Amino acid sequence: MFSPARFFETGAAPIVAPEQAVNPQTDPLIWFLQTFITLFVIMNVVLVTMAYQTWAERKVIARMQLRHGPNQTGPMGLLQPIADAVKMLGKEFVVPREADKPVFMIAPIMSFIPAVAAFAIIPWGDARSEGLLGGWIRPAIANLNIGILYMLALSSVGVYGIIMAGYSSGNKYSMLGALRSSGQVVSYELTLGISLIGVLIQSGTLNLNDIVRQQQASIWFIFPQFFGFVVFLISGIAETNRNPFDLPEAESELVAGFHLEYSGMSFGLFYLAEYISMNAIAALAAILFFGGWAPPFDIVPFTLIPGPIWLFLKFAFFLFLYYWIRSTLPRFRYDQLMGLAWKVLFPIALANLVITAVVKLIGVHMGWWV
Amino acid sequence: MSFLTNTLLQISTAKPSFSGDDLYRILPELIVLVMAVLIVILDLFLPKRSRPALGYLAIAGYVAALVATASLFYYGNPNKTSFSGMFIRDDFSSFFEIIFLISGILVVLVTPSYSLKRGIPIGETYAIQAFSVLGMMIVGASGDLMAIFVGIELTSICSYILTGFARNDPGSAEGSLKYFLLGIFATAILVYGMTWTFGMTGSTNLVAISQSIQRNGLATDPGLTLGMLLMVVGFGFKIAAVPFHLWTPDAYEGAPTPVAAFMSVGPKAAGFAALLRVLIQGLPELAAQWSVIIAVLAVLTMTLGNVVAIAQTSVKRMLAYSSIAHTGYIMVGLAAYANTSSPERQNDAISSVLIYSLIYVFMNMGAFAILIYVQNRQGGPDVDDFDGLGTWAPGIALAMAFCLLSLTGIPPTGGFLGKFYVFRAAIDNGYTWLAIVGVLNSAVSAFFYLRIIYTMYFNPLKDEARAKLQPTKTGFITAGVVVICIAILLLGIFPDPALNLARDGANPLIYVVRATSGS
Amino acid sequence: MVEQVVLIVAGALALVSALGVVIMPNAVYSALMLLLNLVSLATLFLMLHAQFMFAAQLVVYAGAILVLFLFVVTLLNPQGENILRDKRRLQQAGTISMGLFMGCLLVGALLYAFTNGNQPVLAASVTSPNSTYGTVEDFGKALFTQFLLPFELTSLLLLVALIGAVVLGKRK
Repeated sequence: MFSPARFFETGAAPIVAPEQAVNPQTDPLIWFLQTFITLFVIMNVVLVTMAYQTWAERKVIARMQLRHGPNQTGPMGLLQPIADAVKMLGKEFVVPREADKPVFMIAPIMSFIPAVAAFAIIPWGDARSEGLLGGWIRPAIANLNIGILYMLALSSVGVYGIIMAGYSSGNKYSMLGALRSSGQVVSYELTLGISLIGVLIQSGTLNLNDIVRQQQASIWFIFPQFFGFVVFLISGIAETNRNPFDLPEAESELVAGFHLEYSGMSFGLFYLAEYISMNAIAALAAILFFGGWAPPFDIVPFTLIPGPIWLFLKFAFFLFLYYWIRSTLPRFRYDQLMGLAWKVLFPIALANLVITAVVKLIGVHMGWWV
Repeated sequence: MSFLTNTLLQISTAKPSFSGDDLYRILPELIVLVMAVLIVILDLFLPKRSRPALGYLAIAGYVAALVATASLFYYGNPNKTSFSGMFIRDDFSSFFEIIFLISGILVVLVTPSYSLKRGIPIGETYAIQAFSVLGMMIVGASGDLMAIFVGIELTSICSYILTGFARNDPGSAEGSLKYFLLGIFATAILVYGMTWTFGMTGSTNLVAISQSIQRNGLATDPGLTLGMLLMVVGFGFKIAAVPFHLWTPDAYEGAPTPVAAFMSVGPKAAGFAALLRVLIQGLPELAAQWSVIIAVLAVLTMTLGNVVAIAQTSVKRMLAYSSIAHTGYIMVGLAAYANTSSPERQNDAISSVLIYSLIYVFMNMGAFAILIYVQNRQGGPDVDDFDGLGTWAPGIALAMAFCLLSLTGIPPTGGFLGKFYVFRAAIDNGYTWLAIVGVLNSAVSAFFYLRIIYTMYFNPLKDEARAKLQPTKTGFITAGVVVICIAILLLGIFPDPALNLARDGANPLIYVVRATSGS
Repeated sequence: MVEQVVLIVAGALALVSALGVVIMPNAVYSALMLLLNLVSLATLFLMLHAQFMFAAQLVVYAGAILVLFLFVVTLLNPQGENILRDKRRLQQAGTISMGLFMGCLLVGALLYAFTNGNQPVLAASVTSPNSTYGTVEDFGKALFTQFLLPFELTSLLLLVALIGAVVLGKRK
């Protein structure tokens, strides 16, 4: 008798508890220190990447527009990000008189934390391996069983920073920007989530590391999940409010949108949050569809390059894609934006989900794979 | 009683699985579901002019489901649970399915002339009505608190929406909002009661609940009593029992009249189905407690409904209060269940509830259908608008008189029979005082029902009002009214087939109760 | 040890923020307190090994429903409606005493459940290290086998609500 239950009995991958060199139950101190050091390293990498990403972005876009980009501060303008950071830190933090002060202060933090927290589960190498320096730097800060859900949860909490900023600024442009943004983020979150379910069905696990391992064993998921990938990429760009979906901060209409009233480092936090969540989406795309830390082929010249480099290369490719899109495409109109999400991407993602599920069901039933 | 133990074994060892048999047992529900979804889709693509034709599709769907139910009923319901105990296909669920499907058909008949005249979206109305019927069918057939809850909610949400469908009428929005706010509050209470019951017994399955109560001696447990009380409050809201009836007059008055007609029969019967399932199948050990509560509520409900109905000048509002009063009569039958241990007497009580619900569908629908007709012609739902109906629409007036007499409970109508069975069950089971209160109330109700008959035949239609009479399409309504009158008459003169059905329908509950209490 | 600390902090936060939802002077603050409450509850779910509930709590409640709340609240920005500022003393007293009564009832019920000895045997199987209780896999299995019917019906319920919202909210 045909039964849907069978799909779940045979189709799901066994639940793998992350293997850790140090057991947090027995050696809490060592485990804590390891986590701290890993955290320290990864956070620094993330923040420095982010800083130099602004430089890279300006350079790439300048070249595409036949300009030079930053070239005054240091060789090739390489010190520009540092100068920017110093400038930002030195500026005064102004709270407008009309502002709702406590919310105004918390908003940038609310925006920043979810963006950064996403990096807690990005695996830079096989999370089941020991990691660098005898386990003092682990490949991922945490190897969660519910990795994809965690990412979705964070991306959905991220919208609060924007709404709070818009509301608390006491400024109509900010408010409009925040409303636009929350509508946009909530809509695209849906397509983002549904596009991921295809990968989830394909791999039978929510754990990011296991998803990479499955791709290593079979094929990059971009090939079977091409439509899922396209939807994911577009939704990812919209989710992070980047061009051509940067309506919340459309300069020509809203001055600067929700962060109009922010100055100094409080603006800096929004800026950081935007770039870091963009990085997280790029990393996620690399992990879910391009095999993450796994080399494209399991043969010698490729396997010599370590996992983090592979991840970084794929990640850099996506960042370049972001810049490329930014310098190419004009901004969407708001109704077009919503129409794209609900009338184009959503049906494609749903169809992709259904087809993937049916193929998997048939495959499991016929015994093509277990 | 090996059949019973078998049934029980199947219920208690129900495997969490799903097979073709399940689909076969849920066939009537599936037909209604497919019909509803088809209406939703077709409504999008059909041109506005041809959307009323969706009514034929709706009727076809209901009739097909009715045929499926009837054949399942006729060839012997398997008496098995499906979907791991969530869904029970037995005579009880079939009987209630028949009630719901009939009310679905009748409401489709009375809807179009009213809605088209007032610009109420008709395709959506049919679709949501169908979803509502589906929810009711699930409630009637559910063997688990979860399924009951979801079914009741599906029905209620449809009712909230339908109430607000007359968007040109502020009263509609007001009624919808009031209904919605009070309704979600009642839902919260209902869920809280279910939570308590689950917490005390460790299961949401009704049979498992009654077994657990018996095994652990929970019958006098205060926590369980609280759960039962809260659930009675929640269901009491859905059936509009006093003192949880406050939404009823406003919601009925604001709602488009066909919707009010539908709400007064369908969701009410669904609430009774849920009450019967939960109280008799799930909490039979607490019968001594809940029967007193139900009896007290019944007295309050009958009395308040009838007394307040006298003061109404709007027929729609009067029918709202009258529907509250009829809730009270039906509750008399439910209260009568508890005082006896003989299965025949128990069957009397439950079957009286079933047969009354069935008869009530026809007579109340009939009264509302004619109210719709008068509203279409005269524009208003007031008693004055019935002036001289006997002269300008003699057939309709005759049908209205017949329905009103039936609502009053005068032989040879079905209404008399329903009341007779309910009160006889009460007297047989030691609730004589309740029956007396009921009869007195019927006497009171005669006042306001007969007043309309008087208005129809003895108040002349004023000339300026005659000039303002509007033309209306009467085809569907007339068909509905004819069907209703024949049904009421048949139920009044040859009640045996329906009564036997009701007795069959009442049996499963009694068997389950007896099997769990091991007698 | 660490788990206990997290549990206590999350529990305390949940309580305090729930109180904050009710007594905050500004509706936006109430909504933000509700956010804090939802996040604390999500943490509690995680501590109870209910991973899926944790994520669903954040994605559905914090990510979608509360966003809409905030949307409306920030647009309308209602002021002054608050229990503590209620000028109608009788109503105020009634609300507060009713709340206290319900709170006492709940606490009493919990105490009753813990002392009555009828506790479900869930606890041991949940806390064992190899338990799959509360994982996404278990949740999915339960939804699509035992609770298939209510689950599918819920989708109908949402469909109906959607149709209703569109019809009632549509411009003429």
